[in-house]
Amino acid sequence: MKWITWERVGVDRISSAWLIKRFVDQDAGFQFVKKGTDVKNLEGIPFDIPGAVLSHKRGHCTFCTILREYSLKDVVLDLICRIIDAADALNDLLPPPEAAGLDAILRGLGKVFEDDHKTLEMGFIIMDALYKQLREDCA
Amino acid sequence: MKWVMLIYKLPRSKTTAKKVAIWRKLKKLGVCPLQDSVCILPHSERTLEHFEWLAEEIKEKGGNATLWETKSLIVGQEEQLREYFLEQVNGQYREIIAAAHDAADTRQLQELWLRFNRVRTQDHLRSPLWIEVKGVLEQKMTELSGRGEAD
Repeated sequence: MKWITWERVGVDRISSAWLIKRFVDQDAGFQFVKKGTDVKNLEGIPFDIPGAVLSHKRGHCTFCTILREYSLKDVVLDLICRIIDAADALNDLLPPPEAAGLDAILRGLGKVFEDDHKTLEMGFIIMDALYKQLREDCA
Repeated sequence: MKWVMLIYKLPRSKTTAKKVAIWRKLKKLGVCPLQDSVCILPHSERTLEHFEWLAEEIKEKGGNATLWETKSLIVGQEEQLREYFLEQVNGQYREIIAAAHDAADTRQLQELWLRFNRVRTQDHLRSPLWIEVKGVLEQKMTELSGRGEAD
């Protein structure tokens, strides 16, 4: 399936794409469109685009929305959800300590590559690493 | 200089929970309220993104919001606005410096350090004062942790 989002991905779009690829659709391919492009007539599922089903909902980040929409039950994903939410959606009454660091790294990543596919590729490794370490810490 | 301006109307609801959620986010962003329901921030990738989602959230909650990229047209207006943003963070930075001088233990300093980093997320114009605050906190931490010289 093709998944569509705005180009120049940041923390929520990288982590959401990772969540899709690893837990929702292993064959997921990603298409990046210019910010503000009308995606209604494009074939594919839009995410992290204002107005899309898979975007910020109830004041929480897109990662949280995907987690809920696809009923993914995993304590580590719940932890990551809170990290992304604090980084991206100003929800940080109790911010996890990883939030600020991950935000800086994933924001900066796109400025290193300037190609969203490459950014995602590297972003996925970072997210895999985060997942693996949190999984170990949870055990 | 470019600015982003959010014009909004909060949802009419009996409970205040929805409104409070929005107000809290506006406060956290350190916006300048120009009028009731009109607020502004210096334009950046980050401020724009936060405003975009906030506008969506307000609409989703049953309110109304429009978002604009804008520039000032009256002489002096922009300078006032810049001063507002700088003073907003500088006031807090000065409080942190004062509290750091009075801090009696490392725990108090660590709390100030967290507060300092929260203020920095609202420091949209990057006030030069932040370097001083950082220096004071580090210096005081060196003294209180009994290491004498900074390592």
